[in-house]
Amino acid sequence: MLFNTIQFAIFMILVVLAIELFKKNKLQLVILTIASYVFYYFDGGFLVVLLLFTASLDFFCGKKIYESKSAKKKKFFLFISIIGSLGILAFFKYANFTINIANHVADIFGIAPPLKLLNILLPVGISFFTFQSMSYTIDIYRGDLKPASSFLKYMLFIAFFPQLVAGPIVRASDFLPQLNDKRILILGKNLKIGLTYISWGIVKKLIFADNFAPFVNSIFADPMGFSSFYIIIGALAFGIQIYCDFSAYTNIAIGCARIFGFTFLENFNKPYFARNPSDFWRRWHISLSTWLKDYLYIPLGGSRKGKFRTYLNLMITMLLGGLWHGAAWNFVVWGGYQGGLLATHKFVTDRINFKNFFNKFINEKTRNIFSIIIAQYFVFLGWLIFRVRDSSHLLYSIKKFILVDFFSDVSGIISFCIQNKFIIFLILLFFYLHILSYKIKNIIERINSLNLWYWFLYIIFVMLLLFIFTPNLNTAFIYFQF
Amino acid sequence: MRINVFINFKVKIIILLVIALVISFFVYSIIIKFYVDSYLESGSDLGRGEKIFEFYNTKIDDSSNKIYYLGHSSMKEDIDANLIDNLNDSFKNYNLGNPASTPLREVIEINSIINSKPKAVVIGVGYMSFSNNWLFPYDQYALISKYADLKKNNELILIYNETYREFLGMNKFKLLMYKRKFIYPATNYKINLLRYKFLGAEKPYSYKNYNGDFKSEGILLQSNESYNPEFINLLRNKKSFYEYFVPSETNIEKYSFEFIIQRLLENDIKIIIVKIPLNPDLLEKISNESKNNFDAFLNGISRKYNITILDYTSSYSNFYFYDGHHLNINGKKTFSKNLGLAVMRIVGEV
Repeated sequence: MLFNTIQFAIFMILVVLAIELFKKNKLQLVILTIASYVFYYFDGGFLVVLLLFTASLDFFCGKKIYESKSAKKKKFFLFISIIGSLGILAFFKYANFTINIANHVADIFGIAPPLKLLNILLPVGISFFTFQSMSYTIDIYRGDLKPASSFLKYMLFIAFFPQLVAGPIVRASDFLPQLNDKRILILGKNLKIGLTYISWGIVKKLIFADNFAPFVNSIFADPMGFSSFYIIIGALAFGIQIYCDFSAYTNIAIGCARIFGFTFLENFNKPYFARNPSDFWRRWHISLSTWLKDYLYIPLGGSRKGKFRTYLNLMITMLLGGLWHGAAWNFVVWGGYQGGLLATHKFVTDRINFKNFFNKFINEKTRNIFSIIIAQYFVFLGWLIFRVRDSSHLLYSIKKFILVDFFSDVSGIISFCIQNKFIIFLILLFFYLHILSYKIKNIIERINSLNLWYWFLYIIFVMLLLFIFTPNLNTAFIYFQF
Repeated sequence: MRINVFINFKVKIIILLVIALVISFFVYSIIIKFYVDSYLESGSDLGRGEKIFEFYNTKIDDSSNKIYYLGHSSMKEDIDANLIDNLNDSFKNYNLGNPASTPLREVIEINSIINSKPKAVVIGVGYMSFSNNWLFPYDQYALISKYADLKKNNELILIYNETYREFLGMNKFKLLMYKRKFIYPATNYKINLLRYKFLGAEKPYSYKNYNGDFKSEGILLQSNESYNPEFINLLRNKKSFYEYFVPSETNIEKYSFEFIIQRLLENDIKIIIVKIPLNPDLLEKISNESKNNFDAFLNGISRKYNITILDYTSSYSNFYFYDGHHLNINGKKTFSKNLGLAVMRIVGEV
């Protein structure tokens, strides 16, 4: 069930009404839990049993880890939990990818007949709920968290519908304390901020992401023969599309949760103002990057085991982070590329103090602008790797992105801009709004704090924008596939 | 005491939300009604949708000898019904050609055509008509959805697949929402119109207002030029002519064509099939296989239902053409006269 559909609006209204109607906390939790599993059933069908299985296994293991006195037993149950969660993820998400690799290798050496691909469906949101569930047992093992007080609360934590299929990856330590025994109240102030978040998210999704989608598809379906200008505009458009799409989902998820009085942490913080690769990952998909840092990078040794190991750990973390996005080589390459950027940045900044060096020539503001432009050049180059799956298309696109060739074709650029003036307008509008949101800190909170009548005008304006600019075909959120 | 003291904040938010929805929807409807609809009627070829069904309705009680000319843009652009009227005043001729139309698209109008009781129907066809690779006019299907009434029309349900049904089956609300896609072209058109009026820019590329008499109105492509200067370049650079490829096996377009023939004959309406004139420069690019399949299909229909075929495919030199399959003004006059005389002769014999 997509957030940008009437079905979801009806679903949400029914759940809110049910929570209003039933006043007992336990009953309200039951309603939210059932609603969440029904929500999953709409997209995942019978695969909802996987969600139930993951929830049951990790709830059981979490309890056992907490109750066990011996370190060996704790380790054993943690092992069971991780193997269970990762096993499901590996089977459903990576089995066919692995078979393809095995077949390829076998073909090279001519050693065996090809293995048959498995007829399996990828469960929606599996990467998100698996990581969420794993963090629960690991946190208990580390002694950072107490187990959920009831299976019902744990089931709700794993499957809470606003963030179930595309995050943010919520930590049990953030969410479970919010599931206390007090009655869930739908308060006016929560309704207002929730609707503000939702409206902001819907604008990003329907006006920006969905309008960019056909343009991006047309560029990258077959980019061969396009000049650098097309490729660069395509990369820009895709970068905006994926940001608006994914951050929109997060905004809507946060907004829906806020209506019930729950708070999720922000998942994005103006990523296209990042000044270097590390800064980018502090701003982009924050719940994933912090998860990778806490449960992969630091356990691997982080930066504590020497410089070489730091670079290696960064590479491993980002390669696996790339693979998390999907079972395809371009995601692995993208992860490796991001790891390479992080390692290179660390390597260079360990040796050269750019701040002191450049401050001799230019002021801080100019230096920051240059840093942003350089960092974003690499970020958008990375989006090409993320988006273009065909290797010859990808190599061609990268070549055109790096070796720009459009200076001699000014008339071609002008006619492209005239033909695609709506897309060019949207790109400019996006960057204007992005700059505005950089200057006005926490723009959603600012809108929410408007006088009620101004807020009312904002809602009318947003609704009118939606009526006018929404494309006629609904498109799924990009991160649904992960 | 102010009334809102008694309304709690939550209820106030909900009420404001509902009011906002109503206001924004109202404003949107106004935009569509006065901004988009006027563009659709006068600034684009899509205005035909509504006008054509109105036309059929006005002709139900008209007992004169009517001859309808159906087909895609070649028929629409190439036939001057007024000129044909002058050839024989016992017939009233109507050019009902529709850009990018194919037999499948024309099926929707068949009941209205029959109800308006024409004496004869002249159907112009070209290779594009049966290739099943011609443009899919989604917008046309959407904009005439209120006339299609799929629920009452089992024949249409059998012919159209799910995609078509989605467009043809739009209710009033869905159609209103669908029309938002025309806000952008309407704005573009209106800006270009202003630039034309005040800055002397080129006249916007669009249809004139359909005047509804379906004679010789709204000429988009024609000019006195014997050639569109861009056409030769387009033809030279065009690598594929798949939209002109007629397959040997049957397809939905061929099926629809035969369906139209059957329905007209069942209602004693005379049919004449016209192979539309094509520019020799374009014709030589079309494969022999396609040409043979096209001829074989039409000859089969002609034999099976005893229908006359008038073949104008290679009748005119490129001097008469504006582009690949649209005549220039000179060509239009010549073709209209030739076709008119041939049609009068055949219909007059009935």
